[in-house]
Amino acid sequence: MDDSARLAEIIAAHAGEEGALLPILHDVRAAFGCIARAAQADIAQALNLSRAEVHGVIGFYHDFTETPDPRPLVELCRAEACQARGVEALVAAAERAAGARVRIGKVWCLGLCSVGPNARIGDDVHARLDEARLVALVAGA
Amino acid sequence: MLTEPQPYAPQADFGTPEAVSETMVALTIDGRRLTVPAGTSVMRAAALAGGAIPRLCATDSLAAFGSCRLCLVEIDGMKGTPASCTTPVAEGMAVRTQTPRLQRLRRGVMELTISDHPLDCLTCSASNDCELQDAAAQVGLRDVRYGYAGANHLDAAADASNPYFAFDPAKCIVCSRCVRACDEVQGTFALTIAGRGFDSQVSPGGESFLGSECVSCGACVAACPTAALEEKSIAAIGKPERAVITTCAYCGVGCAFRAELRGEQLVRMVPWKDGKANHGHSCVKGRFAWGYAHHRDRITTPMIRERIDQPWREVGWDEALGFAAARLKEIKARHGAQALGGITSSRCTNEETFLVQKLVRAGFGSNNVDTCARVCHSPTGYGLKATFGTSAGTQDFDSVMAADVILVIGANPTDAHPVFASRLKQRLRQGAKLIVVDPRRIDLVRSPHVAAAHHLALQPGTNVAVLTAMAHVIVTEGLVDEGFIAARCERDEYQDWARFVCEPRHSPEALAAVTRVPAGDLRAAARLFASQRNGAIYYGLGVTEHSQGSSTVMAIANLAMATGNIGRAGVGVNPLRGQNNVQGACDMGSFPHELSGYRHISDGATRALFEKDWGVALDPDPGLRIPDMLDAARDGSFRALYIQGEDILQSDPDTHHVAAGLAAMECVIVHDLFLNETASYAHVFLPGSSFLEKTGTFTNAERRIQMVRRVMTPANGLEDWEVTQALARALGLDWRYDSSAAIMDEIARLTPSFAGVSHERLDAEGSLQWPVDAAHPDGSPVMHVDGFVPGPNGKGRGKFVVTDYIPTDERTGLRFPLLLTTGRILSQYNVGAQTRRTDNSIWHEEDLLEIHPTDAESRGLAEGDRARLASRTGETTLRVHVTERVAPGVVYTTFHHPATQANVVTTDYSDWATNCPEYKVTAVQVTPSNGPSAWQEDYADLTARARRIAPAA
Amino acid sequence: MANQIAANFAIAGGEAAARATAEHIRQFWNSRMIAAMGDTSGLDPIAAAAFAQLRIDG
Repeated sequence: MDDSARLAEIIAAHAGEEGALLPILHDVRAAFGCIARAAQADIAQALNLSRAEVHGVIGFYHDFTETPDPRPLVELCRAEACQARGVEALVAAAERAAGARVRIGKVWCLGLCSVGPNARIGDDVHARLDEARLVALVAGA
Repeated sequence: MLTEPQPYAPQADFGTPEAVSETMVALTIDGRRLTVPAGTSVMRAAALAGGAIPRLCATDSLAAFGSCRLCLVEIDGMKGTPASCTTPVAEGMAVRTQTPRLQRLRRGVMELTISDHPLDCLTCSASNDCELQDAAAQVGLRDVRYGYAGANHLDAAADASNPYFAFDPAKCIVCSRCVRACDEVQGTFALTIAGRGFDSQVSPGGESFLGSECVSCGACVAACPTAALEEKSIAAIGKPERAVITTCAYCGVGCAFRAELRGEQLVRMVPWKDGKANHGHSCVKGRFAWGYAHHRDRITTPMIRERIDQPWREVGWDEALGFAAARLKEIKARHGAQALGGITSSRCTNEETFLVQKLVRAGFGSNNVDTCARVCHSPTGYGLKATFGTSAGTQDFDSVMAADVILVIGANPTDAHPVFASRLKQRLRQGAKLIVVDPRRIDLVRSPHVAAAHHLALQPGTNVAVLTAMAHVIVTEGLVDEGFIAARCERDEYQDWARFVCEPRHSPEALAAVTRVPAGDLRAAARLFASQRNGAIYYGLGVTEHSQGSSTVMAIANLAMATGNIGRAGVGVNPLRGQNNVQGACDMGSFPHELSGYRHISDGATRALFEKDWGVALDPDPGLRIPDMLDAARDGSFRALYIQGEDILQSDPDTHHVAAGLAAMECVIVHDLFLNETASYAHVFLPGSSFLEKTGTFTNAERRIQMVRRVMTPANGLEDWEVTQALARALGLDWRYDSSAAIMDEIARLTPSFAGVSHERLDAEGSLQWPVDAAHPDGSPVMHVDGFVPGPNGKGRGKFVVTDYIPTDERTGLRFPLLLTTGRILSQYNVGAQTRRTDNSIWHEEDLLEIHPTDAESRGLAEGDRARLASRTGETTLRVHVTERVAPGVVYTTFHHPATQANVVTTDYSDWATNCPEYKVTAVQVTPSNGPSAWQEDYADLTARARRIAPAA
Repeated sequence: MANQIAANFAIAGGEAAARATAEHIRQFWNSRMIAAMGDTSGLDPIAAAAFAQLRIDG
């Protein structure tokens, strides 16, 4: 199935839903790794929105990008509780370990405040991180 | 009074929109008692009381937003400091707008805003005309504790891609006013806030403004409180120093504008918030496309020549007028008065138009006067007079906000009447239903947040059949408003009509073969239209410019009466007029068979009124219409024509026929801004004045008479009415008008529906909607309220007229298998004489031929290819745009560019009742082509020769 | 042109159609155009009847 057929399928799957934009954007990101400009125009057309509106929603959420980033993503919680538990001291080492191969992202609370610092890779959440465990996670990502 | 130029000041802004309520609420603001309608915001109430609460994100053209946190107030009994923009007034409320706590809070907000704003006020183009500057002054900002060294957007790149305005994100405070204006006012949704938090930025969807969905209406620029979105002309020239209220000279919406000037230099045109047609909104043409008025092509010196193969000779006014008068007199002496005629313009003022038809009737001695409305809305005149007794639309534009279902037929408002389209879209977003009857999938059918419930994509030329089928459904399914018909309409005629539409041959199923509209869709659309409380019909030239134009107008009127949709807000029959003063030109007696106010020339009493006033006998015989004049020219009985402000060679159908008629005449006088296409056949050129250079009135599509005010001195030295008067005097008529106001006095004296109109009153009241007479002293926003207005011959009851569907003689066949229909696009206007001479051409450099993919493919045509477009009358070439907007078998183009000359292709078929040309249906063939047609090459050559001007001796 | 007008009034039937056609032409045509029609026998019968009537009425 080519990309445009896949996109059409995703849009069709949400046809008639109220508030279909976000579910579509999630599915498109999952399928293509990003929401390309051409896809934005198709989504806008399908939902009878302007291209600008779709662009605005994509820009609001960090999860949505216009170009794909194939690097693995390690999201490090930088919210207050993890800060209090020392996450900021780990950032430099994580970035060194990541180099150009891995992307270190920010999240704001993973809901595990008592056991921080925490990170997430995909759907897996990792708690009680110290420098060595974090570097290992990054290296294995 | 609006007569005198006002010193420049920003237009009043009360912060939030006006609330309409019968309930009044009393409150105190800073100890002052006041009473305002329920629903008014505290901010607006304070502004009405004369106090200005500081604000940034609020402006009264937009719903309150509550984001800038500058307009905080204290209210007794309420916790904290509510935002005054989002807090409605309540009975007994006590508001304080200035306290030490509020001052502290506001300063804090301003400090944060200013910490990311350049401090270049002295060299900023908005200096001294900037709401941010005002707000800083109001809150007493003296320093910024955060300093200026932090993260900021001061280096953000500006976007100057739009030719008329620039976006400088460094000066943007992200108040969202532009985004909301684009959404709420214009309805295009082309702007958004990209990013979040500190990274938030106004963005046209991540593209350049020019490359985005932006339609350049200027609403965002008007809404911007800083220099972030600003007209380039302000940066180039400076802040205006005076402002004059006037009326736009483009389409029939009739937007009121403030011309803002320095000296005689126009700085910008800003929509006037108190304008009752546009309520402060505008489109790309009126707002920005006025540069033509000073274009280098403008001719400001009179010119004459003996023969049209000679170069022009520049002469003084006396010589030009003397030359013209001598020729006219000589032709009249040789061939009689019937050899002379004139054409009035829907681009000119009521006063100028009235004078031209007076010159023809009283000076030339014939009734051979016609107007460009002949080729656009003459069927409206005929059809609405036959049914309603009066040749005019029934509503004001505001009426659309009360409509529950809206039928748009043969009109493309988002392109041709954009400011009205924005209102219409507002109403649709509020939930009104839309039915579109159009061969093309126009933007209204589906565009962001607007979708038609039904799009009946009919075969061009079958409007009458579609409307009859709708009537069939309404009558046979018992959806008729019997009460309305019994009370307001002629019973016998209704019964004849009902019998006719009920015939099985008029069912949607029977007519589907002709209309190509699926019967189920048509039935559903008819039921929808008849089932809602208020149904309104809007139509344009897609109705009138057909062989059945007058029948379609009457079929529309029948439908409105049958469903009881006449005589109140939210309903009615609304012709969308193409040009600014089509309504006025028709009202002023521009048609050969009638005097002003639609009174037939054969009516002795009316003629006697004019004869007494003018001191001359009038011919009771209807004069020649434009096509008749051209025919008569070819057989030698018509020889002289005075044309004011119209380019019949480009705008009228079958160019070859027009050219042959003009070439046969001995004296063609063209009175225009430019050497237009018609001027190639002229012997006398009288330079015209632009709408910025004269005083008079225009009457828009809602019968609203509004002042056009002289903003600057005419480049040619004379206003157009003065030129016509000078020509009349050269012919020996003793005309002594000292102002256009005196002409309006004469119009009012001789025209019952204008009885109460004068410039003085318009200056005082802003505008008036005719009829303005003893029965309607303050004018008539909605007509036929308590009964149909008795016309000169009408009895005050609505007349149903049986409209049989008679197909056009223009048929597709093997040689010409496609149907061509024509129209307009947003950025260009009519023959393009004005808009082509502005930067609007950036959006539309040439006329394109829209063709369906299957038709393109079978002809081997791809996007952008040059194609030959041929009909029985002629051929031209143009590039193709392959699109599904048009149905298979239908092609579409615009007529804005003389190099294309779509009218070389159109035929001389016309409306049976009024001769309005059938621009909308031509059988054509489309084939690949390498270059311009022979005609295009010859024409370019002819034009170049005809425009030669001899060097001054 | 006259035939086209007649066709649009034809639904009114015979004499009424001719009357309506004649009245329409009287309202909108210059009298010289009416006179210039010459022999109208080749026209649609309703149009021809209309012109006959116009000539009687002068």
